[in-house]
Amino acid sequence: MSYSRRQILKNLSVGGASLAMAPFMQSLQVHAAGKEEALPKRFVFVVKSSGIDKFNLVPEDLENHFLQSKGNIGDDAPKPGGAIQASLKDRKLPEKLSPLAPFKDKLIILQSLSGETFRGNHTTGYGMLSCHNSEKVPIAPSIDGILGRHLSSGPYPMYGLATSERILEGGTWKPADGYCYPNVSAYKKGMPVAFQGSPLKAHADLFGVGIASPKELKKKLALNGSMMDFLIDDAKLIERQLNGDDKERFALYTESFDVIRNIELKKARFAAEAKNNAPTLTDYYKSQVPSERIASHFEIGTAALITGMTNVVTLQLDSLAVIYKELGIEKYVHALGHNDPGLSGNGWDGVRCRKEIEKSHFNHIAKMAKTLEGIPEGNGNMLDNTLIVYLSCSGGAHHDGQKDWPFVLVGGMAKKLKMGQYIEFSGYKEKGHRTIANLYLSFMQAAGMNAPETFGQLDGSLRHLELAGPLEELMAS
Amino acid sequence: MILADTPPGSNVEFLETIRPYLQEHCVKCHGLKKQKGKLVLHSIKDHFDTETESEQWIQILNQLTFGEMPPTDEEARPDSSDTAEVVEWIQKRLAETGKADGYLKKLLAPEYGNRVNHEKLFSGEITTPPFSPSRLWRVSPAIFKERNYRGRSPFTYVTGEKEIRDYAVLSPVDRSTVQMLMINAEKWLENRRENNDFKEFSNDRPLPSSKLIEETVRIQFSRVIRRHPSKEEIAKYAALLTRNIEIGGNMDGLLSTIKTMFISPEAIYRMEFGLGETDEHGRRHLSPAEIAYAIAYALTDLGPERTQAIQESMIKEKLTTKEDVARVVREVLDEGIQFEYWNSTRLPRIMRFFNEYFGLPHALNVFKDDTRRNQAAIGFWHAEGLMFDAKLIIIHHLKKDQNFIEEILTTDKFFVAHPGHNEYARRIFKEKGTKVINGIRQFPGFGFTNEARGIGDLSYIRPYNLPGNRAKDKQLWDWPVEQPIKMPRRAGILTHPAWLTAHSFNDGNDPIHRGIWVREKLLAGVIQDLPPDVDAQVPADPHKTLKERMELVRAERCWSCHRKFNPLGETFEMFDDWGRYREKFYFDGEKKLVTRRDKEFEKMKEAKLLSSRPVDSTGSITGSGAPEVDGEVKDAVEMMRRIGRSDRARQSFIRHLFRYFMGRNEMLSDSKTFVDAEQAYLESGGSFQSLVVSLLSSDSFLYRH
Repeated sequence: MSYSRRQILKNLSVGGASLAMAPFMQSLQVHAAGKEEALPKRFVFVVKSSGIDKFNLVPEDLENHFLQSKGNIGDDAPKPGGAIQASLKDRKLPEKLSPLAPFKDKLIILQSLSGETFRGNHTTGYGMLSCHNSEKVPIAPSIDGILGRHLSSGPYPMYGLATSERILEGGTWKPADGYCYPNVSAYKKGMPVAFQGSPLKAHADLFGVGIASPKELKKKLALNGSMMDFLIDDAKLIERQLNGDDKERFALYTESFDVIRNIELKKARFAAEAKNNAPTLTDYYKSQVPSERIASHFEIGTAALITGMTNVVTLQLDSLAVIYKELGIEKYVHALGHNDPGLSGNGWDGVRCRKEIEKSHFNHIAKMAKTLEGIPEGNGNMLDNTLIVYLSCSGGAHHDGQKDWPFVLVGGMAKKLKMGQYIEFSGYKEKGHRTIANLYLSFMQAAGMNAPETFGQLDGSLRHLELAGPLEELMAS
Repeated sequence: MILADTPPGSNVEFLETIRPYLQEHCVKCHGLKKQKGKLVLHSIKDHFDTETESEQWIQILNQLTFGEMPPTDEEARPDSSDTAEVVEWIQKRLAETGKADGYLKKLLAPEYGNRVNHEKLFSGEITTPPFSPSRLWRVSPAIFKERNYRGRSPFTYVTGEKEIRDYAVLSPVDRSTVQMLMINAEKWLENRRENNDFKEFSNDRPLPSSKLIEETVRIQFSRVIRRHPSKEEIAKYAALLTRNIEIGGNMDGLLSTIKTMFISPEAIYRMEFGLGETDEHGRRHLSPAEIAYAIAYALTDLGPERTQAIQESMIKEKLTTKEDVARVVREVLDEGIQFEYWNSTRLPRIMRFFNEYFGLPHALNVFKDDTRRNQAAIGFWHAEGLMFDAKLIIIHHLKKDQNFIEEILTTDKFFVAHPGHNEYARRIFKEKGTKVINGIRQFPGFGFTNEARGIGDLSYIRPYNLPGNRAKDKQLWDWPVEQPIKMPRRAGILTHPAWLTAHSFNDGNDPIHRGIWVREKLLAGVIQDLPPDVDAQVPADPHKTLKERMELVRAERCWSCHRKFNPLGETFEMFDDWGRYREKFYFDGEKKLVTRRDKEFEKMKEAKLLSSRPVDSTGSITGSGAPEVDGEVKDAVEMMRRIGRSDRARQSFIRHLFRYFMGRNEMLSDSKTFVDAEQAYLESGGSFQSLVVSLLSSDSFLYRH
């Protein structure tokens, strides 16, 4: 069994400088070496509930294959065939995407990818990012977890922020106010990623190290040390009773104390970055208004990337119990999904309400993009190496929308992705049809990973199609 | 043919047993004259030192365990117990030399349990006193849930989804587990802090007195660890709390101390070291406290203090002997099984065994798409409802407790849209004032209650070949208030739509895995791992039935494995992948298979556009190790009637139940436990309860080594 805390401390102080390197320093170094491709890469996954209205994602002068929903939003018959690939240059974006107009050349609208076999009750849960049919149990790593483990050099492989503990909330919305597991991301089978619900706690988690006095930091580390010493004494008693195999397994448990301490120490090394880049704490972070909660999460997520605490952030935006009163809407997201008549005090129908909600999300995304664009990196800026991915946990409909799964991508990935396009694939089961797994493979490839041929569980109904590899339409040659 | 000279240093067993065995049964084809499969054994030595040497022994070991060698057509087949001896010797040598760590670790997983020789296990020849290894066993996700910390369970299984899940050696606790536990602890503490639970430790209060510290430790320990701490433990944690207060002040000191309890070994592991007496064989008996926990977690997800019979025995100090344990277990079962309903919380572990053994919950993971469902005229697809129906058959026989194994494997009495007990069904029928219209007893509908799982209408019953209808439509089936009812062309759980679906693909039957299931779970058979170069794809051909498309596995290269399961699994072709019985395959004008059964199908049939031929569900049972079972069968029903009543199926079932309760694979040294368990079952007229009592009071359960 290894109780090598001292050893770890020693290693850290030797190799510490490179580990603690903040992104800005990294980029200077990379730039000096003339290796633009080696700049840090980042992803932000933005997950909303209740589907994304597909009809209102198509630029005006392109043929719109989607029907304007009348019943449950998005529950239309699968669209008839016909693929589209068109540049967004010289095209007017649909109204709800207008906040992203300044980023038209850094935007991709993707339609008609499928993930049909990933099922669930109003959400595909872990299925959406892991491409496995498992709403509530993480049975495979999700794409954000995979990318995070590959890209992040900070204390967190990825950081998740959630406004709600679960998507299908009954009754009134209860903003998540601590760590929770909203069934979104996982590092591996059986290892879900905990999401922070409270903006205040997320702030303390990520940047507390920059704000805490040296005395407080010392106290925290000392309490941790006291805990570990105690547990190790206990563990030694047990270890004596164990045989070889059990001893080996038990060591995994005792070694975890060191690993956990390691994270705290790693955070401590980011103190300066945290101090310089942490958002200012205000009462706004206590707000219970959905859009303000979301705004806080975006702000914290942006700062987490800038400080280098992580390179992958996933934001779970809303649950079905949320009411966006601040946007003039008086019904639950759930009711809007079913397009209940007479939905808002101001005469908007479900379709209009959903358009306004999505537009508000794009406003948050635009703000994040603008901040990242303002930070130089290599020959460009941080946005050039950050991809923001907007999707819904139930695809293109309030429920069961996995045949047409829309995505909106903003940013870039070191010129590996061909941005500035509207891409619509052939319909489900038709020739040329592709799946969300192909999109995730594109992410892996663009991020410089050795991407496998396929990702996750394959759809048996698509056996006749070529489903390996990334989306060619997306990859820059 | 004579084996080459023996090198010095070889052990006696090799010379007297192993070498003669190889000489008699193997060298003819793997010697100087012939070297089939490039394997040469005439000069093999008792050497395991190099990779090549140990690999060669592993190869021999595999062939012998799979029963592949010597080939079945050889006249002089070795005696099964001789083979078992050779297998055991090779395994022992591999372990001694440490050359096959990976291989031996793999054998600890449940899917390799059958590699222990079946005949030998039940032969009664082995006199080694049984025991389980001294061990740590991580608490199960279900136990965690019952502890009600409200957080997400950090415990998951790494065992295969279609096997017994909770294995002690396969339940690691790593960094992610500890991190999740910390998060849970922090959240739980925060809630309690908000409820003002820790007000005496607020930072504006003076330093707490030693009395308060001890009292706090006692209370918090009981809440987190779920038992009262000993004096030593109180002292140990009090010292920690005092130290933490010095470092971090009252509140942070307290919170950190409680957090320590949350991630301490006892909050995570069940410990079964054998702290009782040591016997003449060096085995250590579990102490009364260890026994209390072991029984409690064998049958429930709660600590021993939560089950009256166990708690009383603890207090009366009556948990020492085998008889004590048998008595308590019987009491807990007697008390619990009568209350076994669809959502029983008394003995959740009993029903979980059946879920894991039959794999019924997989029915929920198989994705049946709507287009196919509509075309197949299956109505409402309700896998959960079907699972529930299957569960009722098991509960029904748990309560009758006669010929249990045979009954659940062969019965043709099913429950359909029923709560599972007639008195309740009659009451609801009467209370709701449900009528009989045109001789058809109307279905009353059941809500979610303790006694019944909610079933709103009969729309899900078409997989039973019954006419389903939605509540608003005319009812076509005369709903029987008295159930179970006779279900033609079915025999036991394996012919139930729930099992058939659980072991099907999204879009069709899965004869291969069904066959493997029968081979492994009912015939205690061993199947090789899938060779890495096999392309496990059945070619598509719209003109052929599935069985015809799988013809290619009958090629010599594939058949040596596939013969073990295809002829078993193909008998289920009498059902479609919704679990519905069928007699014919239909083909359209282009000779393409027509799977739809909707109105369109009826039209085509009426217009005589379809040709048909009978479904071929024939198969055979071979190499089961039981001559009375082997032979041709016309379909799954005949197969199940034959297998379900066999000694082999009973013993195979007992092996799986053993794994479930012991949390590990069987060893030959457990033989006495198996012989006793089977005897207890037979002598009691096939009582499942007696079987459980026997296993849980066995030496395998009570002794550690």
